[in-house]
Amino acid sequence: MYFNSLTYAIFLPIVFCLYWFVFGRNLKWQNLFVLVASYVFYGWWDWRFLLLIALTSFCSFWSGILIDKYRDDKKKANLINAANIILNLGILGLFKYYNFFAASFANLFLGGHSDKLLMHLILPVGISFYTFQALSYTIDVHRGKIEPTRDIVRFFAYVSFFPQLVAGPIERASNLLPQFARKRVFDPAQATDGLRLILWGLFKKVVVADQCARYVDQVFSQQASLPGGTLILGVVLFTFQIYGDFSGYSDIAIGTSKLFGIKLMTNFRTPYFSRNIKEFWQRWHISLTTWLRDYVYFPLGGSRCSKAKAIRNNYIVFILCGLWHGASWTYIAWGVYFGTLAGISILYGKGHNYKDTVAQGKLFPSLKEVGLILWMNILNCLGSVFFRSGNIGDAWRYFLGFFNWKGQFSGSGVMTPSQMTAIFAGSLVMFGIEWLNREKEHGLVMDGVKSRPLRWAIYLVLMISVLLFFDDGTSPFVYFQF
Amino acid sequence: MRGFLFKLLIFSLVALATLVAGDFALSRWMRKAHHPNNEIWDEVMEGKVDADVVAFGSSRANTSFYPPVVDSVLKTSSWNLGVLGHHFQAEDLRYKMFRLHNRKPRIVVQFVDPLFFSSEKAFDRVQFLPWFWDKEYRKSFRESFGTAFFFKNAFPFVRYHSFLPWEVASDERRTERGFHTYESDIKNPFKPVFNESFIKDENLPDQFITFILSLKKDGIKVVMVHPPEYKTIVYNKGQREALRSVMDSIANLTRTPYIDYSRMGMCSDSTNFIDIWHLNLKGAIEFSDSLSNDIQRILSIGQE
Repeated sequence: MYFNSLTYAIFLPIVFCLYWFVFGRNLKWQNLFVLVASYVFYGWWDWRFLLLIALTSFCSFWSGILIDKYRDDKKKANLINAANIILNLGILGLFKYYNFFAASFANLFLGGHSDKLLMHLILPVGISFYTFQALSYTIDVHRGKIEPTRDIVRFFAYVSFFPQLVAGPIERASNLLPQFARKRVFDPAQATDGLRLILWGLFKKVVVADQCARYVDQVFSQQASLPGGTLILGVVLFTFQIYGDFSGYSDIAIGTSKLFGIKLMTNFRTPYFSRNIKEFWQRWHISLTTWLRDYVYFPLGGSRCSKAKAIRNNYIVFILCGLWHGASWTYIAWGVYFGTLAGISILYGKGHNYKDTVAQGKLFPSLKEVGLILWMNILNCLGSVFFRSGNIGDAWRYFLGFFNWKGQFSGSGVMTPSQMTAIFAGSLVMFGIEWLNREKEHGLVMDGVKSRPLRWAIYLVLMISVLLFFDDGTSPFVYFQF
Repeated sequence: MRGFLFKLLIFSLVALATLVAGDFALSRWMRKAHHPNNEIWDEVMEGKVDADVVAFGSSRANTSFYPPVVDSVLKTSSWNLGVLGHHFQAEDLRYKMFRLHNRKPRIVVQFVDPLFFSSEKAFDRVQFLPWFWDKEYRKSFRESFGTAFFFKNAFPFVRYHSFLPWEVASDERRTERGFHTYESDIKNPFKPVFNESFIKDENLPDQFITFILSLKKDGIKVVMVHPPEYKTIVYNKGQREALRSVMDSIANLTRTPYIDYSRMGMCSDSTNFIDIWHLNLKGAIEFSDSLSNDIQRILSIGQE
C-alpha cells in the first residue's frame, strides 16, 4: 500500500476515525489497534512479510527483558545482546545480501556459475528499517539508556508503526516507545500540521520526484547515445528525484503520525543547502546517519582517536551506509566515495562543523555560501552516479559521457520542452519554499501566513498540482527497495 | 476534535467546489484544443461530420483511411473517426455519439486488428473526459465502458490526473476529416522482433456482432477491413490465424465483406509506413485508393 495511492487515501481516514472515536478511551486497546492497522498496512504487500517482522519483534522484545534480567551478569547480558544482533542482522543479511555475495563469490571463483548457490528470496519491504529500529531498542537497553518494556503489544506497535515502517524514519525507542506508553490527546494544531506535511510530502513526491524520474530513467537507460550536457542534467535531476521521493515519504510519515498524536524524529533538514559534506550528512537521512553514528562510529572510537583510525572509522560507516541501501557494488562504491571525501576533510581539517543554518536570519545567502552550496552539490551529484547506475561499468561510462559534447545541453530527444518546464517549475517551487522555511520544522510551516484564505489558497494550489501529476499510485517510493 | 473536523469539512467543500470549477474550465478548454483526438471528438459532438462513408477503428484507421482519396474514387463524402489507441468499446461510444449528433452514413468501414477485442481501457483515456459534462455522453460512456471505469473517470478534476494540459496545447498536428499522421518516436520503428498477439475479451465479439447487425438494420452497409502492416511484424504462434478465424466467422454470420490488407504488396515497402503498424501519408493514399476501389466493386456504388 503506497502512500500515494487511492487505497491509502481510503485506509488512513478509516484508521484515524477508529483510532480516536472507537479506541481512543483505552490506551491498551488503542495500541492494539495501531498494531493491527500496521500489520494490515504491511501485509497488504505480502502477508508472508508479517511472519518476519513478528519474529524480529518477538526476539528483540524478549532480548530486552532478558538483558534487563541478567543486568548484573555482564557475560550473559552481552551474550543475549550479541545473539539478538546476530539473529536480526542474519535475517537481514540472508534476505538482502546472500545472493549478492554468492554471485560475487561465483564470479571470482566459479567462473560465474552461480545457479546452484543462489536462493529465490523476495526482499521484504522495509526490512532494513525495522531491523535497525528493533536493534536500537535492545542495544539501548543493554547500555542502560532505556528500561525494557514488558508490554508486548506496545513493543510490537513500536516496531511496526505503519507510517514509518517501510521507509523510516528509523525511530529510537527512547523517543517512540514512551509515546505508546502514555495516553494520546488529540491536538488540533498538531493534526493540522500533520495534514500540511502530508500535502507537502505528496507534492515533493508526485510533482517533483516522479516527473524527474521520467527524465532520469530515460537518460540512464540511453546514456551511451546522449551528449554530456544531458547526462549532467540527468544526474542533477536524479538528486532532485531522490530528495523529493525520500524526504517526501518522510514528510508523509511524520505528518501521518501527527494525526495520531505521535511525534516522529525529523529525517531531513534541507540537506541541499549544506555548505560542506559533513553538514550534508548531518542533514540527510538523519535517522540512519545518527543510528550508524551511535551504534557503529562511536563504538569504533569515532573521531576521538588518531587521524588514521578516524579515517578508517569513516570508511567503515560509509561503506555500511552504502551496503544498507542495497546489495550492489555501486552502493559500496558510493560509500567508498563519501568515505574518501570524509577522509580528505579529516586529513586537511576541512570539515567545518556548522551549528547554524545557511544564511541564518537572512533572505539571501552570501556569495561564499552560494559557492560552498554549489560545490557540495557537485560532489553529491558525482556520488549519485554510483547510486543510480546499475553496475560499476555503467557508472564509469556515465562519467566518461560527461566529456561527450556532441549535441545539445537539453532534454531534447528525451523529453518535450513542456515536460522539462514542468520539472523545473516543480523543483523551483520545492526548493524555493524549503529555502524560505529552512530554519523551521518543515517546509510548509505556515506561521508566517496569517490570512486563512491565503493559506487555503496555497493548499489548494499544491493539491491541484498533486492531482494533476498523480498517476494511480503506481510509482513506488525509491527507498521501499531498501 | 470537533473544531478540527468542522474546518476539515469546510476546506473539503471549498476544495470540491474548486475542483468542479477547475474541471469545467479545463474540459471546456480541452474540447476546443487543437489536438487530433479532441478535434475529432469536437467534430462528432458538434454535428460537423457530414459524410456518406465513415471509417471506425483505432489509430490504424486514423492513419490509413484518407478521405480525399476515398471521396474521389467513390464520388461521395467520407470521414475518418478512428479512436487513437482504442478498441471496440471506445469505437462503440464514438459511434453512438456520432449517430446522436450527425446524419446517418451510407457505409461504415470498420477497421479491425489484433487488439480490437481487448478491453484495455487506459490508453490516452483523457481524450474521453472533456465531454463528461454532456448527459447523453455520460450515459453512453457508461454503457460502452462499464460502470467501474465510468466512476473511475467521473470525479471532477481528479480524473484528469497524470494529464498535462500544456502537452495538448503544444501539439501541432492537425486532422483532415479525422485522418492524421505523426512522427514515430520509436527508436527502431521497423525492428522485426515485435510479437503481436490477438487479445480477446470474451464478451466483445458478441457485442461487435450486435453492433454490425444494428447498423445493417438501420440500412447502413458495413465493410470489415484489416489494414496493412509492415512485413516485419511478427505474430505469436497461431495468433494471426486465430484473428483471421474470428473475423471470418463474424463476417460470415453477419454477411459482411471482410478484406484483409495486412499482406498486400505495399506492406514490403517501408517508405509507406511510420512504423510496423501505421501507414504514413504516402501509404495511406495508396491504400485508400485500393480500399475505395474494392468497396466500389463489392458494394456496387459510385459507378452511377
